[in-house]
Amino acid sequence: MTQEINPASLEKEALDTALALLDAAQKLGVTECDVSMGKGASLDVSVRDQQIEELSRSSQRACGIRIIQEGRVGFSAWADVPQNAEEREEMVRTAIELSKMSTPSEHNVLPPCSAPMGDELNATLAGLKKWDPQVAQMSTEWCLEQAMALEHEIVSHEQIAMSNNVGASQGYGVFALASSNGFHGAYSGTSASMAGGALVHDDDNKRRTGMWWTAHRFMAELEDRSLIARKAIAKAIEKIGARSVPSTKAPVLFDPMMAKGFFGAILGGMDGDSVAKKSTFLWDQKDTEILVPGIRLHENPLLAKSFGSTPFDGEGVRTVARDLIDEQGRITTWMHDAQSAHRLGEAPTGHARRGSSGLPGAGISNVQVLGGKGNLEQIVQETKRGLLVTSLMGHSPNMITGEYSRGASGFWIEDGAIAFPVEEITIASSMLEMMKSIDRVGNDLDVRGSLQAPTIRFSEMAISGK
Amino acid sequence: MGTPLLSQDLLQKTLETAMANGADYADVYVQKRKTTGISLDNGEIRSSAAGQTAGVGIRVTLGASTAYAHSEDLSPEAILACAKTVSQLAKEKGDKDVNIPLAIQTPGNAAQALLLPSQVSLTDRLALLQRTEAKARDLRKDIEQILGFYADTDESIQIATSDGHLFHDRRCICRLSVRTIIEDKDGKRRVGVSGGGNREGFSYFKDRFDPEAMAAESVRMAEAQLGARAAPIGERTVVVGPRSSGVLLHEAVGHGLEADFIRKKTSLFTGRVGESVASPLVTVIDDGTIPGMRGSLNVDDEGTLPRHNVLIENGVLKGFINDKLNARLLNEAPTGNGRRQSFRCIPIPRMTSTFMRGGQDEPEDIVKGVKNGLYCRAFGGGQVNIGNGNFVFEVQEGYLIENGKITAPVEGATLVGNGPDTLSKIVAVGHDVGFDPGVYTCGKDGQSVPVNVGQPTLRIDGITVGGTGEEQS
Repeated sequence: MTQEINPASLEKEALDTALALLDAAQKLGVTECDVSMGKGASLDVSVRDQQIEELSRSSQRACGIRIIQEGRVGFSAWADVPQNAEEREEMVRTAIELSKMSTPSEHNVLPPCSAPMGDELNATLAGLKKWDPQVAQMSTEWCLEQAMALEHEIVSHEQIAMSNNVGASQGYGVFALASSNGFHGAYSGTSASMAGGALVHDDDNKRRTGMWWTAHRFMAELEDRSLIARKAIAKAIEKIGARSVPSTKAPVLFDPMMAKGFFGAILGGMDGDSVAKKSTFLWDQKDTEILVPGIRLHENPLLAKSFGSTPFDGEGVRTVARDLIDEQGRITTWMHDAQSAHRLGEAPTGHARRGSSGLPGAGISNVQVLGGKGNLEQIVQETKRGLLVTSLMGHSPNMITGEYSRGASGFWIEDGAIAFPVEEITIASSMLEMMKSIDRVGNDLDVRGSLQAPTIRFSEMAISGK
Repeated sequence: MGTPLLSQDLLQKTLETAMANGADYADVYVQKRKTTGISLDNGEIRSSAAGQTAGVGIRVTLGASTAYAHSEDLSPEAILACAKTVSQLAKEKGDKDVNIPLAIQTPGNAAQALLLPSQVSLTDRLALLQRTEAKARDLRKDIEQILGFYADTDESIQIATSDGHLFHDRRCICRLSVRTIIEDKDGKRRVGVSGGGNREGFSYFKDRFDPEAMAAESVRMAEAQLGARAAPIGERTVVVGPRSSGVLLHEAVGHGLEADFIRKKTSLFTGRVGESVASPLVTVIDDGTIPGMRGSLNVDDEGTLPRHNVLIENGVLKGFINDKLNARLLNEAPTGNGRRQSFRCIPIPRMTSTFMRGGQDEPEDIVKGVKNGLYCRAFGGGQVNIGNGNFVFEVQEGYLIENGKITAPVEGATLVGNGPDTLSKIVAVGHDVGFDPGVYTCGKDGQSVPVNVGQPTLRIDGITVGGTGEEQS
């Protein structure tokens, strides 16, 4: 068996690397800078026909340094870690060189450090429960056993022609941040997942696929394997015979997964930098009722065991729990990093996010869409005629204009029941109209990620078909 | 970066370690990459970024199974440890005495950088963006936002394979793009995008690509959409313009012809070689050998030379886009399409430059022949479902066709269709085939690789147009 991985020593090592780079920059006369560092490993196994399809063991490390000299930003990233003083100096000098070319701006600032550090940080992190020692083992045996058994359950169903993309994975990662504003901190976490896909044959050489997945920091919290198989099988079979419908206008339901994408677009539109550039459809919508009242988009950065949890943002600002959109349907805050906050004359909000080796940008911790009741089945029953969307294609909405026009598939609803599967249609509206036309919200949150949404219904959308 | 690429001895030893338990095949991929990115946002360089990566990926295959491990640590100990890990995919115990002498092979010459970005000062690279912005502002005073982006990549690659081949390759890609936003009378934002790039190195921007022309194109595109109205929806006749709209082909059929989907029998093109899958007017080619193009390769990422591959000829399915693993399992030949995003990724079948051969028709005549339809000049993103062939595209720049003339601009239109069905409805093909200017990146299984798309003007009789407009019968 692999030796036990200790998250505390992993965090210390990452933080030491970040601090050494920060120190190298300061020795070269840089006064404002911050360093991010990440390291991780994972094991991914996929199977087909009860054979290993792919067994992939990966480990990665990366770091980035941002410097601000007289309002000019320079950034250097390595998909590796400098090993000695010479390499650290090379990395810093690259950033300095690039900064000389940048346009100076008063908005290029680091925020004051406000996040918890030291004992307070450690105590908060302990409460977040991000580490499952069993997952950190990255056991080939576990991954193979789960994947093989899951595939077996899927192909055992008489209607299923074959499995598709069945796999399991385990892994861990650590993130560290050190800034000249005084902040330094690190956290680590584990991640395990299982996914199963099923395929059935339909007419015209068409293959209908269904898939389901589960992912969690803790092994014990993964969804039951048989449940994954059953959902994947059902999702493939229910699509047999899917067809287009004539163009019409009708109520449209989004299942929790599709709703998650919709609320994700709203959150994306609240990005402070885009607001400053007016390149989001929401830029002039603060303090107005943009979402039907009664639904809250609540952010909780300290949700135990959740993937998005973090006590500090990517620039050392404390994260806080709050409604991002309140019960009156109003945006309460833009999501800022230090630069966009300064540009709009607002305070940093704790939304700076950065990867191991990237510049900060705004993002969420954990957001839940709250205030609804009932589930998908109940909302279908309450719908006389309409479309239930379970899959969307394309890259819409246009984040600048808010135009929404996407390829969709799902089910037609007649008299409160599923009538037949639908494909090759589009649904269209605009983000602002959709946000105001939500007339039903469930409480059946899909809890698999850091953004959790329930079933929703829009009172009317344009459906195009043939 | 300091670290040299690997010695031939170490590569040989790594392969021998990987093959020690009796696998079918192994390869080692070493990569050292430097990147630069500069963006100019309304006259400001908000930040500039430099990146560097180095690492090795080791793969072993046995039957349909693959084991993969990679490392940023290029020490012999770390590399041999990875080789040992993946060797365990095969079960023959023991130190099979494997000897894999490597012979250095010569890659092709489709992608030769004449002037490396590192030979050009950052100021000169930045100047491209400044010229772009100045030209756009000169053309139009009330531009709300101009966002210019420049990126270059310069990398050295080694590929060593258990069939005894060793390739060295140097790859350089430069790209320039711009997005212009202007405000319409009703406050709506109209967006124009343009760009270009290829694998010739920086000389492309000195000799052959004009940033001012790129700026003008992006302003033109934004202005062309002023006053745009929602497109009539429903099943319509659609004329698709040349060049960049080749993304339609890329999505509608390209992905479905990738051999991994064929081998796994998940593509609706499985087992259909020799059958008619498109209108007889349609010939589709994937070609990684066209000099300098963004999608072109000297050698693919598993040591196969790229080729001119005919996928569909006069409507009949001829062959697939193959990598080594799937070619072996399908009993076909690799086609030079085994590509990967980086040393962290397993190579999979990917397109290079995919295009439809030009036909006989005059593009103007194609439009003239349509009484009532939609003209699509540029698409935004697209996506396809491999299993059922359904695809979707956002129309980025589209117009009504009324009585044989391109008239009013439309907004918010989406095309939705089915690959083979749409290809069978192509009734006219222009002679104006051309490629996109070199800006596309294709994503699959989480891996992004640069590609080109190409297409002539096409008339498709019957494709579903979606949007918020009224239905037109």
